[in-house]
Amino acid sequence: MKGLENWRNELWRAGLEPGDIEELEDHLINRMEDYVDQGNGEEEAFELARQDLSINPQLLARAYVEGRKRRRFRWMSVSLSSIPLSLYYKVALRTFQKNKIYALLNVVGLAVSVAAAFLVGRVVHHETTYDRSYPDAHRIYRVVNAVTINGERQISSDVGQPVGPTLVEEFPQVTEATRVRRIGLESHLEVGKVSWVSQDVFVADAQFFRVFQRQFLRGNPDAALTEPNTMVISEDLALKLFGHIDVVDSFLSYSSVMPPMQMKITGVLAALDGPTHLPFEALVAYPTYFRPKGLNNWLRKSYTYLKLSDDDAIDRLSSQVSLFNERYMTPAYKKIGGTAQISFQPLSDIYLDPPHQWEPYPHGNRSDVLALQVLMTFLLLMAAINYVNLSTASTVDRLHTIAIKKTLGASKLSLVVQFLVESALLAGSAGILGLALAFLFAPQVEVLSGVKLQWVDSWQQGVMLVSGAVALGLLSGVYPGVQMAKDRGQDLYQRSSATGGLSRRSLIIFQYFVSSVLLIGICVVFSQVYFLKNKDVGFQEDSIVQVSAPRAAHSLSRFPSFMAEVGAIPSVRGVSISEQPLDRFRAAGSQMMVGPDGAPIRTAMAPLFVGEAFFRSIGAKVKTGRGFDRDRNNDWTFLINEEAASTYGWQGQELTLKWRDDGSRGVAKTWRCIGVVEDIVLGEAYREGLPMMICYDNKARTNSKFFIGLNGPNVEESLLEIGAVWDQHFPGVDFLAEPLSDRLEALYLKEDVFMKFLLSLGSIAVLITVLGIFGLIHFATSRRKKEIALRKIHGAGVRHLVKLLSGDFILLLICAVLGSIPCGLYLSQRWLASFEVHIHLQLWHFLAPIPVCLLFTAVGLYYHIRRAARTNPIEAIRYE
Amino acid sequence: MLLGIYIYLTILGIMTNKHLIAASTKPLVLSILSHHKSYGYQIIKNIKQLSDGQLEWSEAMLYPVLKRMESDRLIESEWVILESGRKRKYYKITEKGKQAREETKAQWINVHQLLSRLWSGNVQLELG
Repeated sequence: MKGLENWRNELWRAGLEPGDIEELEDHLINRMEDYVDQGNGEEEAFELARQDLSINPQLLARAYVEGRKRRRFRWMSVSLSSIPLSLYYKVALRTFQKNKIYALLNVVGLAVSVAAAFLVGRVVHHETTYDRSYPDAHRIYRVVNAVTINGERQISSDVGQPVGPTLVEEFPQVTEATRVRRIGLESHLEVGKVSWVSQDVFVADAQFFRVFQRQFLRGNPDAALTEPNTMVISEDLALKLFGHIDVVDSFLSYSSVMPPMQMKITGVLAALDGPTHLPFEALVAYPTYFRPKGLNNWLRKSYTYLKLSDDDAIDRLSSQVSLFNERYMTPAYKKIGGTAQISFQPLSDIYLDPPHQWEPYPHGNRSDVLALQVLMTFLLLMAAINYVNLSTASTVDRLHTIAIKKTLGASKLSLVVQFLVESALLAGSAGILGLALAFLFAPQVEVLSGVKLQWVDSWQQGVMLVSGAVALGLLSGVYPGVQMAKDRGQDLYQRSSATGGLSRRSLIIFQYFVSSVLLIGICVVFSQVYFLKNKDVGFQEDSIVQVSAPRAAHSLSRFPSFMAEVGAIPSVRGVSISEQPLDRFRAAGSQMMVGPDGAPIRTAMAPLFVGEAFFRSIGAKVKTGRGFDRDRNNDWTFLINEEAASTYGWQGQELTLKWRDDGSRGVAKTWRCIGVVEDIVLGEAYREGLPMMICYDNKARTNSKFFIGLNGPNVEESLLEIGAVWDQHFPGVDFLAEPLSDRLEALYLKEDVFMKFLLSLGSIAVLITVLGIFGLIHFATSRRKKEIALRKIHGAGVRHLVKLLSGDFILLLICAVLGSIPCGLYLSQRWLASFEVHIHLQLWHFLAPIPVCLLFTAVGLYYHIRRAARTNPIEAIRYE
Repeated sequence: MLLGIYIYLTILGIMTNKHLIAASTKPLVLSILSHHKSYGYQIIKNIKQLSDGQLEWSEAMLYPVLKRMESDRLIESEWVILESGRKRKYYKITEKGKQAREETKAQWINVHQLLSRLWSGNVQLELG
């Protein structure tokens, strides 16, 4: 009926919504039927009914709109069942086909960030779950020992042998205690012709498996470590050496610091589920090394772990431990002129706590883990924002479609569902792509972080990743969906703001902001690491080779002749000997000095004991006086560094200094100062200059190291010559030479790893921002296609178009970069504060992000503007 | 002149009726819906029949009221497809609506009793 249709359109134009129109239509027809019953013709009845109802359509509409304002979320109750889901799916696929570029940018952006966040998440998970897989891990504690000797306080990770057993005796809440230690850094294990060198062999007492419950594949935990010359090995090691695990009661040959001995295997351990701070491959029974007498020595140390009776036991134990310290630790350390106090460290904290002295393995770092978590969150946030940005941008392209759908009576819910189906589809594909990316990059991340990611074989992780991506996509799809569905059809037609509303602008600003903060971070970390690595350490680190001396006592007598012969090689600048490594920081001690005025003064300088020709071999400059020359009497002499001279105000009078030593080298003696050396920095170059005294000690010891300074560029040739001399003096002993610079380089591993992580995550964040910006520029240019065409027709050049289109983005970029400066400044300062010696922040660190962000914005703009500029304007306006 | 008076009287009539109608619509709708679920056209018809043609509601008045009552959750609606294939929106009362009806019922009965007493003539009022 034509009249009915017109009437419906009239109501639509007045602003009524489809549901309301249908309701009124029903009303009209009812009334019409009544008129027909009264004997009117159909046309006539309709006309009468229409007149009844059209008293004031405008008023009707307004009243309806008033009523509607008050029920913003009620539309959810509209039934959905009439539309099959497959239709949504079909429409979604068509949309993607039409907007390939958006779909691709969306999928790639989401996939990359989800994959990166997932991998970082795995690393974080690995780092934070150390030692959690032991049963009752929360009741296991390690005993640590704070020792003060000569005013130098160090917390050591090991304590005397009787500590554990005594604690069990004295405190009922300590149910078990066990001792573990490493004897010799490397152990050689041999079965027939198969041999294996391991650093992961420890010696443990019989209680070990009562504290650390482990699954035994073969053997009995209670009897495993009781007899001398027995050992328990891991499944891995059994397979390596024997090829099978039925090896209980088999023998293997074991040697570390003692000559090879035959060991009986009493157990095979299943691998632990998670990471641990003590990843041993084999445990040797305690009686193999310790006779009962040795177990009474309070100064002979082991790592000692306790298991407590219940969760609150630690509080009671900690409150009572001072008595224990007074009774046992104080007398024991009195003998060596120090004091000691034990305390307890939770097992699961050990790995992320700062390392104590003598830790068996390197530790993780809590602040790095935190930084990674923050980065991960940022990445996910960026992905979500990118998604919202691109979705809203692409939906604006579809305004007409949506408006028509609404006109035809589509409910709001059905529109939202359409968006969500599209989101889920996009996010699902992104999840699958992300999974592939995660698989692809997992090995790289493992190499970079040094963490074995235990996820590759478990499908739950994959499901988690994909569903995570879908959840993220759905969450981010809700906003643009609701935004679109909320507006009325007519409004949609009218709205066509080009760069988007305030919310989209702020999202772009946020993306630029995050990228810019990350870029600042990268700049700062990079400069700091570069600065540290290239800092003048006061000696020629790159031309020094460190050679470990032979361990056998009978070789000691050959040291002087070896050194003399090596010293005679022309390419060798000098050779010296010391027990102390140059790649490790030395803490300050406490000395009684006699100042220039003859008055005693207590100082805190770091002592270093070195042999003849030390300064020549490491290439350090002696400023005043002399070094330890070969032809002079160097006994009981020392040099101080410039820092010490200035700290204590001895400049110009250094050579009158004396040191009253009460027996650091075995006898009480007064040492005299013979010179001042340039500041040398040992270990990481983090720290401020430290007052040092370098004392003469040319004695050969089994743990000595030779420091050989080389001249000229041919390190390998020189090493060959030195090696030949070595073989003459120490036949059968391996010549292990290591450039000092390599060892120093290794000290910055942690910063290197952090920098690489920051760099990769930063690049990903920038990539995502690029995708987002690219999409938005595409959107902005296509929205203004007709405008551009008209401008071109009127003679606008490319330059004009660039100005027209880029103005908005450049403005947003500058806002974001300016905003990122305080945040970057704060974070950089916090990070740098952990270094005693650090770079000063410079303007370029903060301005560097601008050209980078500008570059990718410019590339995106250029591509699109070129496209816009090349199209024939006629094409663009043909269809209007 | 006549037209002016006519318009004035019409407006006056509407005005005097309007407030009463506005106040009574809600309880009337609630009371009708507590008998059975119903739809707009039927409600208007019911009111007309029950008031013997005295009260004739307009669509422009009723539908927005229904809408508002629905958003206040006093009533709820459902679409029913008729045999003819047409869709019709039915309203029914909710629990909240029943409560509201009981409250307004008490108020109207109070007013009714008061007016009855006043109009009965044998009431003693304290004056000045």
